[in-house]
Amino acid sequence: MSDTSTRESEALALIERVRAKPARFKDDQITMAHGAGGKATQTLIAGLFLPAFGGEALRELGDAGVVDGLALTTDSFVVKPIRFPGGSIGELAVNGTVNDLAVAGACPLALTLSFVLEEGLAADDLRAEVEAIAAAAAAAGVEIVAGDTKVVERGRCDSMYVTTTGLGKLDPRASLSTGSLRPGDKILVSGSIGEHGTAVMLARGEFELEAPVESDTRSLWPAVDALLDAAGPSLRCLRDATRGGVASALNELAQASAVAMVVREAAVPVRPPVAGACEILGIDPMYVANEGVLVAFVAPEAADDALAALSSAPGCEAAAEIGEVKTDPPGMVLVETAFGGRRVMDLLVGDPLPRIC
Amino acid sequence: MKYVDEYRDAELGRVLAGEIVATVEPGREYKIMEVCGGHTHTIYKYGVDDLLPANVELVHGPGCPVCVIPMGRVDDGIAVAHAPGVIFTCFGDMMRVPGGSGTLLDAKARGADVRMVYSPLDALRIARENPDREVVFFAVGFETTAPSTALTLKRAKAEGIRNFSCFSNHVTIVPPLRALLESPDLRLDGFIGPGHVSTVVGARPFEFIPADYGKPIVISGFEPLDLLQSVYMVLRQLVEGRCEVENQYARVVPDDGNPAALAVLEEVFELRPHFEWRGLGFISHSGLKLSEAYRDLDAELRFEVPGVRVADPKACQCGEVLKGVIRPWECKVFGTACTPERPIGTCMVSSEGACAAYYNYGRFAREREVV
Amino acid sequence: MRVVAERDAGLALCADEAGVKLDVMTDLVGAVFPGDGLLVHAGVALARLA
Repeated sequence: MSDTSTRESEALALIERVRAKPARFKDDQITMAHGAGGKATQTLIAGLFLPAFGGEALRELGDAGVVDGLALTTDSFVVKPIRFPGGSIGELAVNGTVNDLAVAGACPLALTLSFVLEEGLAADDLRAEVEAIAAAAAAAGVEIVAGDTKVVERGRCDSMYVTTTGLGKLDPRASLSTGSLRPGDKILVSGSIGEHGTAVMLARGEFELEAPVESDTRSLWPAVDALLDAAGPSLRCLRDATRGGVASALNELAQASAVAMVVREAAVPVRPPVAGACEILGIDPMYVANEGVLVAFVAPEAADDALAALSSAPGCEAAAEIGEVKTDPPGMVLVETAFGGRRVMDLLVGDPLPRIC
Repeated sequence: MKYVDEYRDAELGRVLAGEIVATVEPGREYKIMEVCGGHTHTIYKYGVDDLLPANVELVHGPGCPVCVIPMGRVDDGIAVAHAPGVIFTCFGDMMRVPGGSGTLLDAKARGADVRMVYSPLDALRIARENPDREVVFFAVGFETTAPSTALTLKRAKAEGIRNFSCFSNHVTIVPPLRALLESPDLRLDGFIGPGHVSTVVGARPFEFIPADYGKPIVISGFEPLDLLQSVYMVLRQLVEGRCEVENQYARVVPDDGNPAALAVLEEVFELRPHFEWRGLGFISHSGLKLSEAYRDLDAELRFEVPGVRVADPKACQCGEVLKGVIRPWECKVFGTACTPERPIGTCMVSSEGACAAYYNYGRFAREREVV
Repeated sequence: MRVVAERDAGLALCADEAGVKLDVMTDLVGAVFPGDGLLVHAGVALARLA
């Protein structure tokens, strides 16, 4: 190795040591970055929440917490606008929580539903969301068993905030854990990425940009069911690729299992309108939120069967194998570009921001 | 997208990479600088570096207009953002640039109405839709985006929109290049010329580089194949002993640039006597402010602006990185005290900054096999 | 991007092949007609494409 590359390797090793240090939450105020699902969110969780009340279940940092064969999860929905092409806040609330249970390997049993409503909200708007929730719950086969309603003054919440808690029963076929990935495992994605976040961004109307993109919100339980059937114990882990996109999900798991990952960019399914809108705004679709996409890690011998089963689930026709787990460098996710080069795909600090120039 | 896909053809990339290897003299080191944030982005996004032989190094110069904004100017922006009734608009990258005491994102968290826009037209629309608020557009960029700002200001004036103003941090490309080439600690063999800037200014303004400093320059497009071909063209010049301006992006860049764009810049802007560039110091006639005819749309005149110069933190080596004198990882605080989460300098903030690009995309030891 | 329709003097609705549409300032490239190819950056057409 030349002197320069030796010095570069030393610099990189120092950086890895710094990155490996436990997170400390040192910010003096909360900014939008803390809610984006990237590094700032991670620091908040690891540096403030876990030290305060993190027990064994929480420290798994799975999509749901597992206690005595039951999975329990919670989610808040603060999307703006509350209705957008392909869905609305009510549907997200049901599907989002059902999916957190599903990817924990739990069959969804019941939901609770909590509304914070803005003074002045039109009754018709509330009615529309209530109907959307009922339809989504029926489609997902879950019962809503308890709830709460609060109203706050005009301007204190955008139309409505919705919080759901979900309870599920661990499926006996599932042996999933965030720390179980092994080198050689194949990485699958259940469908085209970046649809939901792009649809919402465009629906906000802040940019003079239009594209035929709709939210992909759907229950992922049928997809999980198919995977459990086809791969069973060879299925290592599943993750809902919501806020922070596929990139964040992969990074979280690479860290949890202390493995590396290589993703083949050309294999990742992205529809042209999503790619086009994201390119104009300077955002990478890998970081854009999805509401109906999961990533799955499967032992290599079961990968073909798993992919076949996955693609037959509703909404998963575009499912694809996108990469592989490796040993080294641990915790790092790399992308093999379509052009033949490689780059790192790290967590973002906050929300993906457009480039200029 | 198909037009653009052709240029991403990996097969052609491998062929070009082979020609590059065949062209270079073994044992000779080549250092080529690119001065366009868009080029930095393409190189890292596609891993273009990986296709080059070890003795050809691409160095990232001051082509990222966000990266050269001094901390004091950010503070000025924050002061305006906190003024009563102001809606402060800027491009996304500006939101996390550190000023003397925080970023625009921090100001937003403290109650300033700071909004991200993709084009100055979005900012003008916000002004139309909010007649009782003062909308300020924090303009950043080289000659690529300056025409967009200029056209927007013309529209604002023509429509008589009074609640809109522009805080200009536009800069021009030639002065920092000259300053770089005058710098004694610079060791460069050639340049890759900026693509979008050249569609506006043309190829001629770069003739001083071969003429006065004896370095070849090739103006390049943005697809990875464009960059590879441009690197090849620079190397060919060096090997053949030629020294000239070549235009690899001739399909889009006319030699004389865009006269309509130059005319609108002439009408709306004038050169400041000097302007401070982070890491490069004061450079004369390098910054644009609004011309006399557009003074009433100038946010620096409409608002109280502190105008205090803030010295860069002692640890910051952004200047050396911007000049290509050190590589990002050679900066003493790279990746330790200065990270994307807690940037000390601007090179670590913008996605086109050399340090952010290396940290986010390039940060792995290529000699190590991914096992 | 390709021009879909003229909106106003100097403003055109443009779209790419994937159906992504945006308003673009065309003052710098002269008169445009539906089907014209433009190089667009930050909401302004900088050059014509063949």
